[in-house]
Amino acid sequence: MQDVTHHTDPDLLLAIRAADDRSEPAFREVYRRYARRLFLYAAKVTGSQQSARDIVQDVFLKFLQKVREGEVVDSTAAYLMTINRNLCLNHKRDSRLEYMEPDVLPEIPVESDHDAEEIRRHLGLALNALPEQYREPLMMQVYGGLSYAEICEATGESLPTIRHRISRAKQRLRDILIPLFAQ
Amino acid sequence: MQPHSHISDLIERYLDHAASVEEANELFDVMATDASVRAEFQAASMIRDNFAADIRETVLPDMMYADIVSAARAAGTLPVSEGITALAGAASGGMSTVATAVQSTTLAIHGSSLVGLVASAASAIVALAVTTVVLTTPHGPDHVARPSGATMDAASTDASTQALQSPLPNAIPVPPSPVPDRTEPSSSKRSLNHPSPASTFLSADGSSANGVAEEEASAMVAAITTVPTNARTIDLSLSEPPADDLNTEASSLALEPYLNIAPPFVARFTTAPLTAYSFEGGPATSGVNLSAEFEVRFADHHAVGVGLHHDAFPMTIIDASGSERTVATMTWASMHYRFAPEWTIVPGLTPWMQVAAGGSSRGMVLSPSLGLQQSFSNITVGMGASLMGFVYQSDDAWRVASRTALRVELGYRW
Repeated sequence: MQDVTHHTDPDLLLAIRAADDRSEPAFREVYRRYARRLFLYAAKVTGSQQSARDIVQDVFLKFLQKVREGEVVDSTAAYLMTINRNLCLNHKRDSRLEYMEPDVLPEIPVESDHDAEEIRRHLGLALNALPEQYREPLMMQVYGGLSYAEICEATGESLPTIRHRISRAKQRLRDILIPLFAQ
Repeated sequence: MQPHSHISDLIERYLDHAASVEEANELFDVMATDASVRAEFQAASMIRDNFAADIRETVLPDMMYADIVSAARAAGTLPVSEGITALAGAASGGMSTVATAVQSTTLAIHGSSLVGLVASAASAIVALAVTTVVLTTPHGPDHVARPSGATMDAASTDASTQALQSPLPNAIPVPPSPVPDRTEPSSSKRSLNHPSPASTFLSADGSSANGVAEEEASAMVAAITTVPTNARTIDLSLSEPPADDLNTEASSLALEPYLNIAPPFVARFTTAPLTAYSFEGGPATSGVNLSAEFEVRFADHHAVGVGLHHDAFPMTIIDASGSERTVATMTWASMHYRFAPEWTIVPGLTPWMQVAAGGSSRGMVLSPSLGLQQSFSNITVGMGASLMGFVYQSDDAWRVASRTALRVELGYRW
Protein backbone atom coordinates (compact mmCIF):
# COMPACT_ATOMS: atom_id res chain seq x y z
CA MET A 1 0.00 0.00 0.00
CA GLN A 2 1.40 3.38 -0.96
CA ASP A 3 2.05 5.82 1.83
CA VAL A 4 0.49 9.06 0.70
CA THR A 5 -0.13 10.49 4.14
CA HIS A 6 2.64 13.05 3.70
CA HIS A 7 1.51 14.30 0.33
CA THR A 8 0.00 17.74 0.09
CA ASP A 9 -3.52 18.20 -1.16
CA PRO A 10 -2.34 19.35 -4.62
CA ASP A 11 -0.25 16.21 -4.94
CA LEU A 12 -3.21 14.09 -4.05
CA LEU A 13 -5.39 15.85 -6.60
CA LEU A 14 -2.76 15.25 -9.27
CA ALA A 15 -2.66 11.59 -8.38
CA ILE A 16 -6.45 11.33 -8.49
CA ARG A 17 -6.52 13.13 -11.81
CA ALA A 18 -3.92 10.77 -13.24
CA ALA A 19 -6.48 7.96 -13.24
CA ASP A 20 -3.97 5.21 -12.61
CA ASP A 21 -3.09 3.01 -9.70
CA ARG A 22 -2.15 6.04 -7.59
CA SER A 23 -5.65 7.40 -7.77
CA GLU A 24 -7.34 5.31 -5.14
CA PRO A 25 -4.65 5.66 -2.46
CA ALA A 26 -4.71 9.41 -3.08
CA PHE A 27 -8.48 9.56 -2.90
CA ARG A 28 -8.42 7.46 0.23
CA GLU A 29 -6.10 9.98 1.84
CA VAL A 30 -8.36 12.88 0.88
CA TYR A 31 -11.25 10.96 2.39
CA ARG A 32 -9.26 10.30 5.53
CA ARG A 33 -8.43 13.98 5.91
CA TYR A 34 -11.85 15.45 5.34
CA ALA A 35 -14.64 12.87 5.59
CA ARG A 36 -15.30 13.26 9.28
CA ARG A 37 -15.45 17.04 9.14
CA LEU A 38 -17.91 16.87 6.28
CA PHE A 39 -19.98 14.19 7.94
CA LEU A 40 -20.16 16.02 11.25
CA TYR A 41 -21.21 19.24 9.55
CA ALA A 42 -23.85 17.48 7.47
CA ALA A 43 -25.14 15.57 10.47
CA LYS A 44 -25.51 18.79 12.45
CA VAL A 45 -27.24 20.60 9.60
CA THR A 46 -29.62 17.82 8.63
CA GLY A 47 -30.07 16.30 12.07
CA SER A 48 -29.81 12.84 10.54
CA GLN A 49 -26.81 10.54 10.35
CA GLN A 50 -28.31 8.68 7.42
CA SER A 51 -28.89 11.88 5.47
CA ALA A 52 -25.38 13.00 6.36
CA ARG A 53 -23.99 9.74 5.05
CA ASP A 54 -25.85 10.12 1.76
CA ILE A 55 -24.74 13.72 1.44
CA VAL A 56 -21.08 13.00 2.16
CA GLN A 57 -21.09 10.18 -0.35
CA ASP A 58 -22.46 12.57 -2.96
CA VAL A 59 -19.87 15.17 -1.96
CA PHE A 60 -16.99 12.84 -2.67
CA LEU A 61 -18.51 11.53 -5.89
CA LYS A 62 -18.98 15.08 -7.19
CA PHE A 63 -15.50 15.95 -6.00
CA LEU A 64 -14.02 13.03 -7.91
CA GLN A 65 -15.95 13.94 -11.01
CA LYS A 66 -14.78 17.54 -10.93
CA VAL A 67 -11.18 16.64 -10.21
CA ARG A 68 -11.16 14.17 -13.08
CA GLU A 69 -12.57 16.87 -15.33
CA GLY A 70 -9.56 18.99 -14.49
CA GLU A 71 -11.17 21.37 -12.04
CA VAL A 72 -8.66 23.72 -10.41
CA VAL A 73 -9.09 23.52 -6.65
CA ASP A 74 -7.45 26.21 -4.55
CA SER A 75 -8.35 24.69 -1.22
CA THR A 76 -9.53 21.12 -1.00
CA ALA A 77 -11.16 21.71 2.37
CA ALA A 78 -13.12 24.72 1.15
CA TYR A 79 -14.03 23.05 -2.11
CA LEU A 80 -15.39 19.96 -0.38
CA MET A 81 -17.24 22.08 2.15
CA THR A 82 -18.78 24.14 -0.62
CA ILE A 83 -20.25 21.03 -2.21
CA ASN A 84 -21.26 19.77 1.22
CA ARG A 85 -22.97 23.01 2.09
CA ASN A 86 -24.89 23.13 -1.18
CA LEU A 87 -26.08 19.56 -0.79
CA CYS A 88 -27.10 20.23 2.81
CA LEU A 89 -29.05 23.29 1.67
CA ASN A 90 -30.73 21.19 -0.99
CA HIS A 91 -31.62 18.61 1.60
CA LYS A 92 -33.07 21.20 3.94
CA ARG A 93 -35.07 22.71 1.13
CA ASP A 94 -36.38 19.35 0.00
CA SER A 95 -37.23 18.12 3.47
CA ARG A 96 -38.50 21.53 4.61
CA LEU A 97 -36.49 21.44 7.80
CA GLU A 98 -37.53 24.09 10.25
CA TYR A 99 -35.29 25.49 12.91
CA MET A 100 -36.45 26.79 16.23
CA GLU A 101 -36.75 30.49 16.70
CA PRO A 102 -34.78 31.86 19.62
CA ASP A 103 -37.88 32.74 21.60
CA VAL A 104 -39.04 29.12 21.38
CA LEU A 105 -35.89 27.94 23.12
CA PRO A 106 -36.81 26.49 26.50
CA GLU A 107 -35.22 28.29 29.40
CA ILE A 108 -32.89 26.44 31.71
CA PRO A 109 -34.07 26.65 35.33
CA VAL A 110 -31.35 28.63 37.03
CA GLU A 111 -31.82 27.18 40.48
CA SER A 112 -31.40 23.52 39.56
CA ASP A 113 -28.24 21.50 39.20
CA HIS A 114 -27.32 20.94 35.60
CA ASP A 115 -25.58 17.85 34.45
CA ALA A 116 -23.34 17.86 31.43
CA GLU A 117 -25.85 16.06 29.26
CA GLU A 118 -28.54 18.62 29.98
CA ILE A 119 -26.22 21.48 29.14
CA ARG A 120 -25.15 19.73 26.01
CA ARG A 121 -28.71 19.20 24.89
CA HIS A 122 -29.56 22.79 25.57
CA LEU A 123 -26.48 23.98 23.73
CA GLY A 124 -27.57 21.92 20.74
CA LEU A 125 -30.95 23.60 20.82
CA ALA A 126 -29.30 26.97 21.16
CA LEU A 127 -27.08 26.26 18.19
CA ASN A 128 -30.08 25.34 16.09
CA ALA A 129 -31.86 28.46 17.26
CA LEU A 130 -29.12 30.73 15.95
CA PRO A 131 -30.02 32.62 12.80
CA GLU A 132 -28.84 30.79 9.74
CA GLN A 133 -26.24 33.37 8.79
CA TYR A 134 -24.61 33.00 12.24
CA ARG A 135 -24.95 29.28 12.64
CA GLU A 136 -23.52 28.29 9.28
CA PRO A 137 -20.06 29.91 9.55
CA LEU A 138 -19.74 28.86 13.18
CA MET A 139 -20.43 25.24 12.29
CA MET A 140 -18.02 25.40 9.37
CA GLN A 141 -15.35 26.64 11.73
CA VAL A 142 -16.03 24.38 14.67
CA TYR A 143 -17.18 21.18 13.02
CA GLY A 144 -15.79 21.65 9.53
CA GLY A 145 -12.40 22.80 10.78
CA LEU A 146 -12.25 25.54 8.16
CA SER A 147 -10.23 28.71 8.50
CA TYR A 148 -11.84 32.11 8.10
CA ALA A 149 -10.53 32.34 4.53
CA GLU A 150 -11.92 28.92 3.67
CA ILE A 151 -15.29 29.83 5.13
CA CYS A 152 -15.26 32.93 2.97
CA GLU A 153 -14.55 30.76 -0.05
CA ALA A 154 -17.27 28.29 0.82
CA THR A 155 -19.96 30.84 1.58
CA GLY A 156 -19.03 33.67 -0.75
CA GLU A 157 -19.00 36.18 2.10
CA SER A 158 -16.30 38.69 2.95
CA LEU A 159 -13.78 38.16 5.71
CA PRO A 160 -15.07 40.93 8.01
CA THR A 161 -18.58 39.59 7.62
CA ILE A 162 -17.54 36.06 8.54
CA ARG A 163 -15.50 37.28 11.50
CA HIS A 164 -18.42 39.32 12.74
CA ARG A 165 -20.92 36.52 12.32
CA ILE A 166 -18.81 33.93 14.10
CA SER A 167 -18.12 36.34 16.93
CA ARG A 168 -21.83 37.13 17.27
CA ALA A 169 -22.73 33.45 17.15
CA LYS A 170 -20.35 32.63 19.98
CA GLN A 171 -21.58 35.57 21.99
CA ARG A 172 -25.18 34.46 21.60
CA LEU A 173 -24.36 30.95 22.74
CA ARG A 174 -22.49 32.34 25.72
CA ASP A 175 -25.38 34.61 26.59
CA ILE A 176 -27.68 31.62 26.68
CA LEU A 177 -25.43 29.66 29.04
CA ILE A 178 -24.22 32.50 31.26
CA PRO A 179 -27.28 32.36 33.55
CA LEU A 180 -26.23 28.86 34.54
CA PHE A 181 -23.00 30.12 36.00
CA ALA A 182 -24.11 33.49 37.30
CA GLN A 183 -25.49 32.17 40.58
CA MET B 1 -15.34 47.70 34.34
CA GLN B 2 -13.78 46.62 31.12
CA PRO B 3 -15.75 46.94 27.88
CA HIS B 4 -17.68 43.74 27.36
CA SER B 5 -16.30 42.97 23.90
CA HIS B 6 -12.74 43.40 25.13
CA ILE B 7 -13.27 40.87 27.90
CA SER B 8 -14.97 38.50 25.47
CA ASP B 9 -11.99 38.76 23.15
CA LEU B 10 -9.64 38.11 26.05
CA ILE B 11 -11.60 35.01 26.99
CA GLU B 12 -11.49 33.72 23.44
CA ARG B 13 -7.80 34.40 23.13
CA TYR B 14 -7.09 32.71 26.45
CA LEU B 15 -9.08 29.62 25.50
CA ASP B 16 -7.31 29.57 22.14
CA HIS B 17 -3.98 29.57 24.02
CA ALA B 18 -3.23 32.78 22.14
CA ALA B 19 -3.24 35.17 25.08
CA SER B 20 0.00 36.67 26.33
CA VAL B 21 0.97 36.47 29.99
CA GLU B 22 -0.13 40.07 30.45
CA GLU B 23 -3.49 39.39 28.84
CA ALA B 24 -4.00 36.28 30.96
CA ASN B 25 -3.18 38.22 34.10
CA GLU B 26 -5.58 40.95 33.09
CA LEU B 27 -8.33 38.40 32.51
CA PHE B 28 -7.82 36.70 35.86
CA ASP B 29 -7.70 40.05 37.66
CA VAL B 30 -11.09 40.93 36.20
CA MET B 31 -12.52 37.50 36.97
CA ALA B 32 -11.41 37.81 40.57
CA THR B 33 -13.66 40.80 41.04
CA ASP B 34 -16.43 40.39 38.49
CA ALA B 35 -18.80 37.43 38.77
CA SER B 36 -20.35 38.12 35.38
CA VAL B 37 -16.96 37.71 33.72
CA ARG B 38 -16.44 34.46 35.58
CA ALA B 39 -19.81 33.26 34.33
CA GLU B 40 -18.95 34.23 30.79
CA PHE B 41 -15.63 32.45 31.03
CA GLN B 42 -17.32 29.30 32.30
CA ALA B 43 -19.92 29.47 29.56
CA ALA B 44 -17.30 29.90 26.85
CA SER B 45 -15.32 27.01 28.25
CA MET B 46 -18.42 24.83 28.42
CA ILE B 47 -19.29 25.59 24.80
CA ARG B 48 -15.85 24.53 23.67
CA ASP B 49 -15.96 21.36 25.71
CA ASN B 50 -19.27 20.43 24.13
CA PHE B 51 -18.07 21.12 20.62
CA ALA B 52 -14.97 19.06 21.30
CA ALA B 53 -17.10 16.21 22.61
CA ASP B 54 -19.23 16.30 19.47
CA ILE B 55 -16.12 16.00 17.33
CA ARG B 56 -14.54 13.34 19.49
CA GLU B 57 -17.62 11.14 19.56
CA THR B 58 -18.34 11.24 15.86
CA VAL B 59 -17.61 8.01 14.05
CA LEU B 60 -17.92 7.73 10.32
CA PRO B 61 -20.54 5.27 9.14
CA ASP B 62 -19.24 1.85 8.44
CA MET B 63 -18.51 1.00 4.83
CA MET B 64 -19.07 4.55 3.63
CA TYR B 65 -15.67 4.66 1.98
CA ALA B 66 -16.19 1.31 0.27
CA ASP B 67 -19.57 2.45 -1.04
CA ILE B 68 -18.09 5.68 -2.40
CA VAL B 69 -15.27 3.85 -4.15
CA SER B 70 -17.68 1.31 -5.56
CA ALA B 71 -19.95 4.04 -6.92
CA ALA B 72 -16.99 6.02 -8.24
CA ARG B 73 -15.70 3.01 -10.11
CA ALA B 74 -19.12 2.37 -11.56
CA ALA B 75 -19.24 6.01 -12.68
CA GLY B 76 -15.74 5.80 -14.12
CA THR B 77 -14.31 8.54 -11.90
CA LEU B 78 -11.94 6.12 -10.19
CA PRO B 79 -10.08 3.51 -12.19
CA VAL B 80 -10.77 -0.09 -11.36
CA SER B 81 -7.86 -1.08 -9.21
CA GLU B 82 -5.53 -3.76 -10.41
CA GLY B 83 -6.14 -5.25 -7.02
CA ILE B 84 -9.75 -5.91 -7.92
CA THR B 85 -8.69 -7.63 -11.10
CA ALA B 86 -6.15 -9.55 -9.11
CA LEU B 87 -8.79 -10.33 -6.55
CA ALA B 88 -10.98 -12.15 -9.02
CA GLY B 89 -8.13 -14.29 -10.24
CA ALA B 90 -6.50 -14.68 -6.89
CA ALA B 91 -9.75 -15.48 -5.13
CA SER B 92 -10.52 -18.19 -7.60
CA GLY B 93 -6.92 -19.34 -7.35
CA GLY B 94 -7.14 -19.23 -3.58
CA MET B 95 -10.34 -21.20 -3.58
CA SER B 96 -8.89 -23.81 -5.88
CA THR B 97 -5.79 -23.88 -3.70
CA VAL B 98 -7.88 -24.60 -0.65
CA ALA B 99 -9.87 -27.21 -2.54
CA THR B 100 -6.68 -28.81 -3.78
CA ALA B 101 -5.21 -28.74 -0.32
CA VAL B 102 -8.32 -30.32 1.17
CA GLN B 103 -8.32 -32.94 -1.53
CA SER B 104 -4.66 -33.77 -1.25
CA THR B 105 -4.80 -33.69 2.53
CA THR B 106 -7.67 -36.10 2.49
CA LEU B 107 -5.87 -38.36 0.06
CA ALA B 108 -2.77 -38.19 2.17
CA ILE B 109 -4.69 -39.09 5.29
CA HIS B 110 -6.28 -42.06 3.65
CA GLY B 111 -2.93 -43.12 2.30
CA SER B 112 -1.34 -42.70 5.73
CA SER B 113 1.40 -40.65 4.14
CA LEU B 114 2.37 -38.18 6.79
CA VAL B 115 5.13 -36.58 4.75
CA GLY B 116 2.84 -36.05 1.79
CA LEU B 117 0.17 -34.64 4.02
CA VAL B 118 2.47 -32.15 5.68
CA ALA B 119 3.85 -31.17 2.30
CA SER B 120 0.36 -30.65 0.93
CA ALA B 121 -0.74 -28.63 3.92
CA ALA B 122 2.43 -26.56 3.81
CA SER B 123 2.05 -25.86 0.11
CA ALA B 124 -1.54 -24.83 0.68
CA ILE B 125 -0.55 -22.41 3.43
CA VAL B 126 2.24 -20.96 1.34
CA ALA B 127 -0.10 -20.59 -1.61
CA LEU B 128 -2.61 -18.81 0.57
CA ALA B 129 0.07 -16.55 1.94
CA VAL B 130 1.17 -15.68 -1.58
CA THR B 131 -2.43 -15.01 -2.51
CA THR B 132 -2.71 -12.69 0.45
CA VAL B 133 0.43 -10.83 -0.54
CA VAL B 134 -0.88 -10.38 -4.06
CA LEU B 135 -4.10 -8.98 -2.74
CA THR B 136 -2.43 -6.60 -0.35
CA THR B 137 -0.27 -4.99 -3.00
CA PRO B 138 -2.73 -3.91 -5.67
CA HIS B 139 -1.03 -0.62 -6.38
CA GLY B 140 2.12 0.62 -7.90
CA PRO B 141 5.65 0.37 -6.66
CA ASP B 142 6.48 1.71 -3.24
CA HIS B 143 8.81 4.33 -4.59
CA VAL B 144 5.81 6.20 -5.93
CA ALA B 145 4.90 7.04 -2.38
CA ARG B 146 7.28 9.86 -1.61
CA PRO B 147 6.74 12.66 0.86
CA SER B 148 6.22 16.04 -0.65
CA GLY B 149 9.37 17.81 -1.63
CA ALA B 150 11.35 14.64 -2.15
CA THR B 151 13.82 14.72 -4.97
CA MET B 152 13.12 12.79 -8.10
CA ASP B 153 14.69 9.42 -8.53
CA ALA B 154 16.90 9.72 -11.58
CA ALA B 155 16.38 6.10 -12.46
CA SER B 156 12.66 6.55 -12.69
CA THR B 157 11.42 7.21 -16.17
CA ASP B 158 7.72 6.83 -15.59
CA ALA B 159 6.07 10.17 -16.15
CA SER B 160 3.22 9.63 -13.78
CA THR B 161 5.60 8.54 -11.09
CA GLN B 162 7.66 11.67 -11.63
CA ALA B 163 4.59 13.74 -11.00
CA LEU B 164 4.63 12.64 -7.39
CA GLN B 165 8.38 12.47 -7.03
CA SER B 166 9.41 15.72 -8.57
CA PRO B 167 10.27 18.63 -6.30
CA LEU B 168 7.06 20.20 -5.27
CA PRO B 169 6.31 23.84 -5.78
CA ASN B 170 6.83 24.51 -2.10
CA ALA B 171 10.10 26.03 -3.20
CA ILE B 172 8.11 28.55 -5.19
CA PRO B 173 7.04 31.60 -3.23
CA VAL B 174 3.30 31.42 -3.78
CA PRO B 175 1.06 33.78 -1.86
CA PRO B 176 -1.95 32.36 -0.07
CA SER B 177 -5.04 32.20 -2.19
CA PRO B 178 -6.86 35.50 -2.00
CA VAL B 179 -10.40 35.68 -0.81
CA PRO B 180 -12.53 35.50 -3.94
CA ASP B 181 -14.25 38.55 -5.22
CA ARG B 182 -17.61 38.52 -3.53
CA THR B 183 -19.27 40.16 -6.51
CA GLU B 184 -18.77 36.90 -8.31
CA PRO B 185 -21.02 33.91 -7.85
CA SER B 186 -20.13 31.54 -5.06
CA SER B 187 -17.05 29.41 -5.39
CA SER B 188 -19.01 26.30 -6.19
CA LYS B 189 -20.87 27.97 -9.02
CA ARG B 190 -17.67 29.39 -10.38
CA SER B 191 -15.91 26.09 -10.24
CA LEU B 192 -18.82 24.16 -11.66
CA ASN B 193 -19.51 26.44 -14.58
CA HIS B 194 -16.11 27.47 -15.78
CA PRO B 195 -13.76 25.05 -17.45
CA SER B 196 -10.39 25.08 -15.82
CA PRO B 197 -7.05 25.27 -17.59
CA ALA B 198 -6.22 21.82 -16.34
CA SER B 199 -9.21 20.38 -18.12
CA THR B 200 -7.44 21.05 -21.40
CA PHE B 201 -4.69 18.67 -20.31
CA LEU B 202 -6.50 15.78 -18.77
CA SER B 203 -9.91 14.65 -19.80
CA ALA B 204 -12.47 12.99 -17.64
CA ASP B 205 -12.07 9.68 -19.36
CA GLY B 206 -8.72 8.96 -17.89
CA SER B 207 -6.20 10.73 -20.14
CA SER B 208 -3.00 8.80 -20.66
CA ALA B 209 -4.42 5.69 -19.12
CA ASN B 210 -6.79 5.45 -22.04
CA GLY B 211 -4.55 5.65 -25.00
CA VAL B 212 -2.93 9.06 -25.08
CA ALA B 213 0.60 8.79 -26.41
CA GLU B 214 3.20 8.30 -23.71
CA GLU B 215 5.18 11.42 -24.55
CA GLU B 216 2.05 13.53 -24.57
CA ALA B 217 1.11 12.17 -21.17
CA SER B 218 4.56 12.98 -19.84
CA ALA B 219 4.29 16.54 -21.08
CA MET B 220 0.85 16.89 -19.58
CA VAL B 221 1.86 15.63 -16.19
CA ALA B 222 4.99 17.74 -16.18
CA ALA B 223 2.98 20.81 -17.10
CA ILE B 224 0.40 20.20 -14.44
CA THR B 225 3.04 19.54 -11.83
CA THR B 226 4.22 23.11 -12.16
CA VAL B 227 0.75 24.50 -11.51
CA PRO B 228 0.28 25.15 -7.81
CA THR B 229 -3.35 24.38 -7.19
CA ASN B 230 -3.47 24.82 -3.44
CA ALA B 231 -1.58 27.91 -2.54
CA ARG B 232 -2.59 27.75 1.08
CA THR B 233 -1.05 24.38 1.67
CA ILE B 234 2.15 25.40 -0.02
CA ASP B 235 2.30 28.61 1.90
CA LEU B 236 1.94 26.78 5.18
CA SER B 237 5.06 24.83 4.41
CA LEU B 238 7.05 28.00 3.91
CA SER B 239 6.16 30.33 6.68
CA GLU B 240 3.60 31.26 9.23
CA PRO B 241 0.24 31.87 7.60
CA PRO B 242 -1.27 35.30 7.82
CA ALA B 243 -3.36 35.90 10.89
CA ASP B 244 -6.56 35.98 8.91
CA ASP B 245 -5.89 32.50 7.67
CA LEU B 246 -5.57 31.03 11.12
CA ASN B 247 -8.41 29.01 12.49
CA THR B 248 -7.71 29.35 16.13
CA GLU B 249 -10.95 27.72 17.18
CA ALA B 250 -10.29 24.67 15.12
CA SER B 251 -6.73 24.36 16.28
CA SER B 252 -7.82 24.09 19.86
CA LEU B 253 -10.39 21.50 18.83
CA ALA B 254 -8.01 19.70 16.54
CA LEU B 255 -9.20 16.47 15.00
CA GLU B 256 -7.10 13.45 15.64
CA PRO B 257 -4.31 13.04 13.11
CA TYR B 258 -5.73 9.72 11.99
CA LEU B 259 -9.45 9.35 11.53
CA ASN B 260 -10.69 5.89 12.23
CA ILE B 261 -12.78 4.70 9.37
CA ALA B 262 -14.04 1.71 11.31
CA PRO B 263 -13.96 0.81 14.97
CA PRO B 264 -10.76 -1.00 15.92
CA PHE B 265 -12.08 -3.77 18.19
CA VAL B 266 -14.07 -6.79 17.14
CA ALA B 267 -15.66 -9.56 19.17
CA ARG B 268 -16.78 -12.41 16.99
CA PHE B 269 -18.61 -15.65 17.47
CA THR B 270 -18.46 -18.32 14.84
CA THR B 271 -20.04 -21.66 14.33
CA ALA B 272 -19.05 -24.18 11.74
CA PRO B 273 -20.49 -27.50 10.67
CA LEU B 274 -17.42 -29.54 9.90
CA THR B 275 -16.23 -32.76 8.41
CA ALA B 276 -13.21 -34.38 10.00
CA TYR B 277 -10.87 -36.82 8.37
CA SER B 278 -8.98 -39.37 10.42
CA PHE B 279 -5.47 -40.40 9.45
CA GLU B 280 -6.28 -44.05 10.04
CA GLY B 281 -8.30 -44.01 6.85
CA GLY B 282 -11.62 -44.52 8.51
CA PRO B 283 -14.78 -42.79 7.43
CA ALA B 284 -15.04 -39.05 7.71
CA THR B 285 -17.03 -37.86 10.67
CA SER B 286 -19.22 -34.83 11.07
CA GLY B 287 -19.13 -32.39 13.90
CA VAL B 288 -19.42 -28.78 14.83
CA ASN B 289 -17.11 -25.98 15.87
CA LEU B 290 -17.92 -23.05 18.11
CA SER B 291 -15.46 -20.22 18.48
CA ALA B 292 -15.14 -16.88 20.19
CA GLU B 293 -12.60 -14.43 18.89
CA PHE B 294 -11.39 -11.01 19.86
CA GLU B 295 -9.24 -8.93 17.58
CA VAL B 296 -7.70 -5.52 17.21
CA ARG B 297 -7.29 -3.77 13.89
CA PHE B 298 -3.76 -2.41 13.69
CA ALA B 299 -3.94 -1.02 10.14
CA ASP B 300 -6.70 -0.26 7.70
CA HIS B 301 -7.15 -3.81 6.50
CA HIS B 302 -5.16 -5.81 8.98
CA ALA B 303 -6.04 -7.18 12.38
CA VAL B 304 -4.63 -9.60 14.90
CA GLY B 305 -6.48 -11.39 17.64
CA VAL B 306 -6.96 -14.35 19.88
CA GLY B 307 -9.59 -17.04 19.87
CA LEU B 308 -10.98 -19.89 21.90
CA HIS B 309 -12.41 -22.79 19.91
CA HIS B 310 -14.39 -25.86 20.76
CA ASP B 311 -14.56 -28.62 18.19
CA ALA B 312 -16.89 -31.55 18.61
CA PHE B 313 -16.10 -34.57 16.47
CA PRO B 314 -15.20 -38.13 17.47
CA MET B 315 -11.57 -39.07 17.20
CA THR B 316 -9.68 -42.19 18.27
CA ILE B 317 -6.40 -41.73 20.10
CA ILE B 318 -4.02 -44.40 21.41
CA ASP B 319 -2.17 -43.10 24.42
CA ALA B 320 1.35 -43.97 25.61
CA SER B 321 0.13 -46.99 27.57
CA GLY B 322 -1.39 -48.44 24.42
CA SER B 323 -4.97 -48.06 25.50
CA GLU B 324 -7.36 -46.77 22.87
CA ARG B 325 -9.90 -44.12 23.62
CA THR B 326 -12.29 -41.99 21.67
CA VAL B 327 -12.40 -38.30 22.36
CA ALA B 328 -15.46 -36.40 21.31
CA THR B 329 -14.38 -32.80 21.75
CA MET B 330 -11.31 -30.66 21.72
CA THR B 331 -10.88 -27.13 23.03
CA TRP B 332 -8.01 -25.10 21.67
CA ALA B 333 -6.74 -21.57 21.81
CA SER B 334 -5.29 -19.63 18.94
CA MET B 335 -3.82 -16.41 17.71
CA HIS B 336 -4.84 -15.17 14.31
CA TYR B 337 -4.15 -12.63 11.62
CA ARG B 338 -7.01 -11.34 9.54
CA PHE B 339 -6.91 -9.41 6.29
CA ALA B 340 -10.10 -7.68 5.27
CA PRO B 341 -9.74 -5.19 2.41
CA GLU B 342 -12.54 -2.79 1.61
CA TRP B 343 -12.89 -4.13 -1.89
CA THR B 344 -16.55 -4.39 -2.66
CA ILE B 345 -17.11 -7.38 -4.91
CA VAL B 346 -20.86 -7.22 -4.63
CA PRO B 347 -22.26 -4.03 -3.05
CA GLY B 348 -22.00 -4.39 0.71
CA LEU B 349 -19.96 -7.58 0.61
CA THR B 350 -16.24 -7.52 1.26
CA PRO B 351 -13.76 -10.38 1.41
CA TRP B 352 -11.69 -11.51 4.35
CA MET B 353 -8.94 -14.01 4.91
CA GLN B 354 -7.66 -15.31 8.21
CA VAL B 355 -4.94 -17.60 9.40
CA ALA B 356 -5.10 -18.96 12.94
CA ALA B 357 -2.39 -20.89 14.73
CA GLY B 358 -2.72 -22.42 18.15
CA GLY B 359 -3.06 -25.61 20.05
CA SER B 360 -4.33 -27.52 23.02
CA SER B 361 -2.91 -30.12 25.35
CA ARG B 362 -3.37 -32.64 22.54
CA GLY B 363 -1.48 -30.97 19.78
CA MET B 364 -1.03 -28.05 17.43
CA VAL B 365 -3.49 -26.50 15.04
CA LEU B 366 -3.13 -24.38 11.92
CA SER B 367 -6.30 -23.10 10.34
CA PRO B 368 -6.60 -20.81 7.29
CA SER B 369 -10.03 -19.45 6.37
CA LEU B 370 -11.53 -17.13 3.82
CA GLY B 371 -14.95 -15.76 3.08
CA LEU B 372 -17.16 -12.72 2.68
CA GLN B 373 -18.68 -10.39 5.22
CA GLN B 374 -21.41 -7.81 5.36
CA SER B 375 -21.63 -5.01 7.90
CA PHE B 376 -24.75 -3.54 9.42
CA SER B 377 -23.61 -0.60 11.48
CA ASN B 378 -21.47 -2.17 14.22
CA ILE B 379 -22.66 -5.69 13.49
CA THR B 380 -20.90 -7.85 10.94
CA VAL B 381 -22.16 -11.09 9.50
CA GLY B 382 -19.86 -13.33 7.56
CA MET B 383 -19.63 -16.67 5.85
CA GLY B 384 -16.64 -18.59 4.70
CA ALA B 385 -14.75 -21.81 4.56
CA SER B 386 -11.94 -22.99 6.76
CA LEU B 387 -9.41 -25.74 6.76
CA MET B 388 -7.80 -27.04 9.94
CA GLY B 389 -4.67 -29.09 10.16
CA PHE B 390 -4.23 -30.83 13.51
CA VAL B 391 -0.95 -32.40 14.57
CA TYR B 392 -1.25 -34.68 17.58
CA GLN B 393 0.32 -37.69 19.23
CA SER B 394 -1.25 -41.12 19.09
CA ASP B 395 0.18 -44.60 19.43
CA ASP B 396 3.50 -43.02 20.35
CA ALA B 397 3.81 -41.25 17.00
CA TRP B 398 2.92 -37.88 15.61
CA ARG B 399 -0.19 -37.95 13.44
CA VAL B 400 -2.00 -35.40 11.37
CA ALA B 401 -5.70 -34.98 10.94
CA SER B 402 -7.65 -32.37 9.13
CA ARG B 403 -11.12 -31.01 8.96
CA THR B 404 -12.93 -28.75 6.56
CA ALA B 405 -15.71 -26.54 7.71
CA LEU B 406 -18.14 -23.95 6.60
CA ARG B 407 -17.93 -20.94 8.86
CA VAL B 408 -20.69 -18.58 9.90
CA GLU B 409 -19.68 -15.44 11.79
CA LEU B 410 -21.44 -12.87 13.87
CA GLY B 411 -19.27 -9.98 15.02
CA TYR B 412 -19.59 -6.74 16.92
CA ARG B 413 -17.24 -3.82 16.36
CA TRP B 414 -16.56 -0.93 18.68
